[in-house]
Amino acid sequence: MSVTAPATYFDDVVVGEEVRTAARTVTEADVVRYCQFSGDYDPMAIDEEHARTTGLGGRVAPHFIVHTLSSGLSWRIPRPPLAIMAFMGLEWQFFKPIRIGETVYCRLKSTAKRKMKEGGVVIQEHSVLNQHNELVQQGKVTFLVASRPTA
Amino acid sequence: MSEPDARYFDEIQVGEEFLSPGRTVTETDIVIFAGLSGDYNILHTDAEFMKSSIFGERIAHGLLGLSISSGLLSRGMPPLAIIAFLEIRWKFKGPIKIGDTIKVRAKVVQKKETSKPDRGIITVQRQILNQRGEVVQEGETELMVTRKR
Repeated sequence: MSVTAPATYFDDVVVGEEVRTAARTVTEADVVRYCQFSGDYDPMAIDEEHARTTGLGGRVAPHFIVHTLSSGLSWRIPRPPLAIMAFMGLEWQFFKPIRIGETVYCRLKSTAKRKMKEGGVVIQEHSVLNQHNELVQQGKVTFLVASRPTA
Repeated sequence: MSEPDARYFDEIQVGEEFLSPGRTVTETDIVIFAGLSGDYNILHTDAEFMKSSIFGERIAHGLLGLSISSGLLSRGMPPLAIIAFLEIRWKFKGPIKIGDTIKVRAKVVQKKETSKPDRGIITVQRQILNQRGEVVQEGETELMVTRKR
């Protein structure tokens, strides 16, 4: 009997089902490493003195690091990983800033699926929430997902 | 967000275009991004599996391209007096592979006044191009920008 790594294939995706991911605290290390990686040294993320003069009262995490962390969290669910063949598109809104030390998690819901010649398209709604369960970011992501391999 | 020398809503013209320098996406970038994001999907981390995929090799995370594009744009476009990043609508049109060199082309496509006199909304179209001039990612970002009074 051959054993393969578990995966959630196109055929297994249940439209309307919602799952909650693990949570992750956004640390100063995350923010600094993200700025170093992207090369985007947004003063709101790296200039404490400047950031204090704004209404936010201090440094905040760049929007896209919160989005990036949510993409990693989306694998940490009580389901086998989605057999993604390609990431096709994104429509994403940013509602609330995240300060260093805040904790985020996501709710993921498949909202539509469409069979293609090879695999199928799955659309999910991803909501990022903070430790007070306030909506931080939300959007629609579109994936091409593999079909279950035939034996 | 706002910097001391950032440009205001009033100073920005629809039709302005910018081109960033290039950056070569390396294997190191992909390994670092996997660690940073926690996205260890086989598309980005399993060279053997990816030999049999439609791409033939590991590809960069879509959001890696988007993240690097923000850094590239900060080197190719003068800073805007951004109050908030509101929205992004984005398409991943082709893979970014190890060794590809990407640059960003940006264009201001719309300016909208809001009910508040101290701010306006600017739509910036962004394209990520590879070394062959192919658009690998593109979309629009909506930014709320400070307005002079």
